[in-house]
Amino acid sequence: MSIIKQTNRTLLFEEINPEKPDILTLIGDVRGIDSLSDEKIKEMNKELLVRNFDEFINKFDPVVYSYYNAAVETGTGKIVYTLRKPETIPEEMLTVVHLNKQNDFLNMLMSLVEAKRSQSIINVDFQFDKLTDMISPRKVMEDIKQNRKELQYVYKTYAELEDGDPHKLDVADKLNIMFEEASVNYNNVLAMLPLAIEDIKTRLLLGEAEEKKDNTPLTLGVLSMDENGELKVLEAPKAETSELMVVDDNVNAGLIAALEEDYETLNEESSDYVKALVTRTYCPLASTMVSNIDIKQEVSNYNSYLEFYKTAKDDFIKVVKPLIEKILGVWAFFEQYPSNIKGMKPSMFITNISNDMLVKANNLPRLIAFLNTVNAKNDFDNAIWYGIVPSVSLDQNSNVRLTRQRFQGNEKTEKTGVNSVEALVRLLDVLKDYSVQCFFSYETGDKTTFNNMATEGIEKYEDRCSSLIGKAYSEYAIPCIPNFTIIPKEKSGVILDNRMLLNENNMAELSKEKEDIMKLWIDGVYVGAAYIAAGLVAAYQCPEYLKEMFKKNVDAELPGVRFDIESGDHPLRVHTVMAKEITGFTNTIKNEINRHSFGFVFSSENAVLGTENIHNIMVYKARNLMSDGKVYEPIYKTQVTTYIERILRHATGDFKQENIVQFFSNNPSSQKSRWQEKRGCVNAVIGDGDDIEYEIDEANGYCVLNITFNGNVKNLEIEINRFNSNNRAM
Amino acid sequence: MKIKLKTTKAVLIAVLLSSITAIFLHTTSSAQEQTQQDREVVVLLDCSKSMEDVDSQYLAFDFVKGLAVSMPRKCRMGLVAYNNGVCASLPIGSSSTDIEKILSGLQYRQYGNAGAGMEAAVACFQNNQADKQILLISDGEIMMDTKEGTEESNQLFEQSVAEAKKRNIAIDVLAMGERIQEGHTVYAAAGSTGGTLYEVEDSMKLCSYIEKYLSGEWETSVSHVGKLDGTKAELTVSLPDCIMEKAKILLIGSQQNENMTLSGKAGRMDLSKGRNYTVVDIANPLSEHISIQMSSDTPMQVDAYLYTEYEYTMNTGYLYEENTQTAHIWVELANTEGHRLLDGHLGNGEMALYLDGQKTDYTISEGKAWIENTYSQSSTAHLEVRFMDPAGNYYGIREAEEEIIVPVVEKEEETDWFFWSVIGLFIIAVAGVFGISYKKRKGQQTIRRQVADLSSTAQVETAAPKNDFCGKIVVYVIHNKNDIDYPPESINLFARCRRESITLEWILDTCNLPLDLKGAEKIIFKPGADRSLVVKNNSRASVLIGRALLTKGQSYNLYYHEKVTFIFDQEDAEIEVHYKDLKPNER
Repeated sequence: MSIIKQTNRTLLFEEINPEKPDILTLIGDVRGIDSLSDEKIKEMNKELLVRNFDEFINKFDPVVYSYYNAAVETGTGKIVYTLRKPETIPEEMLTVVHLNKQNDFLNMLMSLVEAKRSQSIINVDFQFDKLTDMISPRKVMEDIKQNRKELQYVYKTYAELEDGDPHKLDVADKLNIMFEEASVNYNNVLAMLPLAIEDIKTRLLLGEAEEKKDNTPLTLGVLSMDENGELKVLEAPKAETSELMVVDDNVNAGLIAALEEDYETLNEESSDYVKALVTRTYCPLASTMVSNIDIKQEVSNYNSYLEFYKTAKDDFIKVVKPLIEKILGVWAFFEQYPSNIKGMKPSMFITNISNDMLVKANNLPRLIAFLNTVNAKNDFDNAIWYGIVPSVSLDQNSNVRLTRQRFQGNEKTEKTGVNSVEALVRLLDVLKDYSVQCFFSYETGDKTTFNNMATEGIEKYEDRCSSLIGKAYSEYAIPCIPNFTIIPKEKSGVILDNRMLLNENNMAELSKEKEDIMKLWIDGVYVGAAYIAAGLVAAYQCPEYLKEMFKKNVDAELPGVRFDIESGDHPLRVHTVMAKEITGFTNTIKNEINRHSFGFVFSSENAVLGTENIHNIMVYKARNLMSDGKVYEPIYKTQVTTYIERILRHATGDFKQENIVQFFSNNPSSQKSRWQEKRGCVNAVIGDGDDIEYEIDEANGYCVLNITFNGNVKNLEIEINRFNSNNRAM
Repeated sequence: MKIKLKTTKAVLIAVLLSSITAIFLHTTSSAQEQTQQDREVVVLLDCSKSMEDVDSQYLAFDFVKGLAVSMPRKCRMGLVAYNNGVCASLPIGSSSTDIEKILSGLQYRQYGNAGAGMEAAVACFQNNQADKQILLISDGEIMMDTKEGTEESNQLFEQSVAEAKKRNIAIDVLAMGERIQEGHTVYAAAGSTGGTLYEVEDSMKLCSYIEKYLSGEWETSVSHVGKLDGTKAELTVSLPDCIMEKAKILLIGSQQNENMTLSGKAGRMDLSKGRNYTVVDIANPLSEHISIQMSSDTPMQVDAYLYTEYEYTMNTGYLYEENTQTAHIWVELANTEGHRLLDGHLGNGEMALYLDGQKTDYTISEGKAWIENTYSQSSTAHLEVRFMDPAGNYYGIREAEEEIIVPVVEKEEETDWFFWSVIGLFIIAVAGVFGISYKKRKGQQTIRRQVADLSSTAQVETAAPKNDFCGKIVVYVIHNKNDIDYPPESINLFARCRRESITLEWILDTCNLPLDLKGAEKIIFKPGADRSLVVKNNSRASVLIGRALLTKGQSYNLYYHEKVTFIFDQEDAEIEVHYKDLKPNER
């Protein structure tokens, strides 16, 4: 660990936010240079390296841009969403939706994963609709209610404190932050929609009992007894409104004034309706306005708001889903490493550029220069060990339509953001030169899920990988299957609300007709297996993580490069944090996987470790695409080889012959001896049954290391540095 | 009796020895007679201002250039140009390129000091056996800025002409324009030296004198092979065979030959053209047909002439039949490459063979001409070949003498077995000696060659220790004219590339990169020491290793994990070649 402090930095080949700096821009022109300066690497780390999900959100600030298109026939116009900033649209006409933890959609998805994890329920039994309604207006309103309670409390505290009290300033700071958060909602009309919808619903359906409905309009009254002692509800006098303010010590009045002022400041073209809506939402002040409601108008507003909200949300989800899946991928990567462990935390370097652009022949030399700088020096602090290429195209002939569409089927739209196999090959060809193990997964969708693999097997993946086998880079290519499902396609419907109508008593009520239920379909949300595979492998590099999982036999100094996740109870102890999705694979499927030991395969199986049931998805196979003709090679062998080569290069001063001999000598202080001492550890570099031998080919100036893993030998050839002080002088 | 026997035996041994010699050696003795006489020509060109009146288009220059490129190999040319004095001079034997170069710097200027010119021209000749000739091209006038000067020049001219006459130098005068009647002129020089005066009134016709000189004065066999008329013309010239050393096709006449196509195969083919001539110089032709296509805006009147040149050695020999007392004498003509001329068109009766001054019929077999003649006693046969090829010029021995030895036949005596066994042993011994010596010679030759080969190999090896290609190269097309994104391509050099050197063009071809970059073939990669790659740029492309620009023609080492950048013609294309080592599984 003293030489190599980390063995888990991961390079993510994805574009998150095109407006943020990307790897190519930062590297710049590499004409005539082979590597980059330390300052440049520092700058790149500052912009593109993240160590946790929050840092990722802050640095990359994933956003969706929206603008209104008034030229649509519906009359109300339409919101258009886009992931790329439309350059022709003026700044003030663009609304930026930040996809952070506060975003209802993303928040809903993350809650879903966490809920599934805690409940340990497989997809088929999980009540997805309980969580998907998090993006319904009601849920939005609930969140706001929670927020406004806090807002009211803090404002009350603020109002009660005397001017000049230092504590008042602290409270004011807190209030500022809360106003800022609240303002996110009321400074754009779209965010106001769920508020407005719920507001109308509250006002119009006031008095509507849960179980029974009264057809008469509401009249507020007071409970009293008449002269005969009979209990009566009498109509209350309407002039009680101001008393509430008295009760609240004018706190609400102050808050209302503050909100109104804030709204007016932020919105140049303020509308009284919205202003009232904002104040009503954040500072409900009894119901004196009830008598003034134009019910018909409000019902019409409600329906159009709901319709608009549904369309907007629908469009939003369609556009944002690919980006959301990337964000969830990054989140899932970091989730694999428990936040309470303080050790060799996985870090992620994000290219933030489309792979089509990155792999262009004129751009590849830039990537090479970068990798040459971080991976080909004897300083390994910034070395990249893993790569993630998600969303590799699974369909070779996606454009061929064989059937006539008789019924409306799935629209086979060309998926944007899907990486071609050609792009993957170009990347692998570069990555292999720098010993970067590349986890890749196929495009997300219902064709690459656990469910699908459980029924169809792995043949299609093997077929698709056939072009990557038997190549120099095969050793560094790790196909990860299957992808993880956050919301399955068939359970991705979200009921927003029902349309409202006026009954015969001119009262508003929610329609119970099926066609009046406003429902939108998320159409399935998935996370690429490569994120989780890389996340898990990166996590078990950390000795503290392994200690947490194994409790004993873990060396605190050594990374988990030799950790074989397939062996023994390792997959039961070191598993993903993702909850089981299916009941498991059939024996036929498992036999198919075991026949060649193909890929980095996750399994959703019932398993027991001691007395504890494992409810998480585990690793079934961890292989790359290098095959000896029968089986594929475990990924740890490649990493151990890389690790030994790097340590050896560092310790022997770039492979000086005399130092190599010393490195492998039986002297207790030699590196080999020190590794052998820790043979019994889970994370031993040379485990039981392993050995390292070397042969020096003096004539050709090569040293061949024979690294034996459980009897299987892997060769590593290194060029000996034969310069010594004598011939250096020449 | 013993003495007589001894004498008879001695005679027999002598006869035997001589007959053996006749059989094995076919001795040929002949006078090395070069029938094609060498010729030296000095063109004396009047470059005075007055020439401009008669040759405003400088066609005299065109003629001289045409003459220089048309020269047969037996003729050597020099040049003297004069105006106020000698303004240019090239010695005899100068190449047509030199002549063209010097003429390009001349103009008709100043006065005409023919005396100085003639003196210089005469001085060009050395005392040798070659025919000597001066070609004076002038408007005829000897004129200097002063009367005295003119007189002086004239006097020098006459003196030089007299000197020329004395040295057997013929002076031909090509008098341009109308004949000048007054003042000092140059015309007389022709008559007094045995030369010819040609009056060329129209300078356009000057070029026709090229053919006149070749076939007339210089006795070169030139044949007229066709005519090209009209604005578009095509002519196929058939060469008699492909054994010749050289063939020249002269296209003489007004022509605008910017649009000219030549097709045919040859070891080398050079084209020289002027305004009124084109000379196609073909060395070692490989195809018998040369096709010429010409097009012009104005109608052409071009005559095509052909002359060929053969160089040969003449070998003779004979076989003697004792019964009929007939000697079968053969003559073989072989060119420098060993091809027999009689296998070519000469075998069609274009060669006459003279035996002792008498034209004799011959038959051709195995590329040799065979004649028969009866000899009862030893004598010398005088052989001569004459060529009747209208376009062929032959350089080599034309006459030879063959010693025909007739064996002396003695009356048969009683067989002396002892004697014959001695003779038999002697023959075997001699044959053995010959055989051994022949074998030895052959062996020596072979060994010598091997040694030479070995030594040359050793030299190469000692000069530079042999390095092999290692590693691999990856080619990235950073930029190209059409902005096509070519995927990176790699070539495994280790144990795959057997070449001594490779070029960038080869790399691009191997990678199937259709970039067609000018000069890519001049960028050379060779294996270097320490597994490096030696890069040498001889092209116009900019080549960078790191930030350093490679000097043209110098070699640089490219080591593993380094890259070299090539930038072609105004950034039409930019290519990066990365040099990397190979992992064991890549081999």
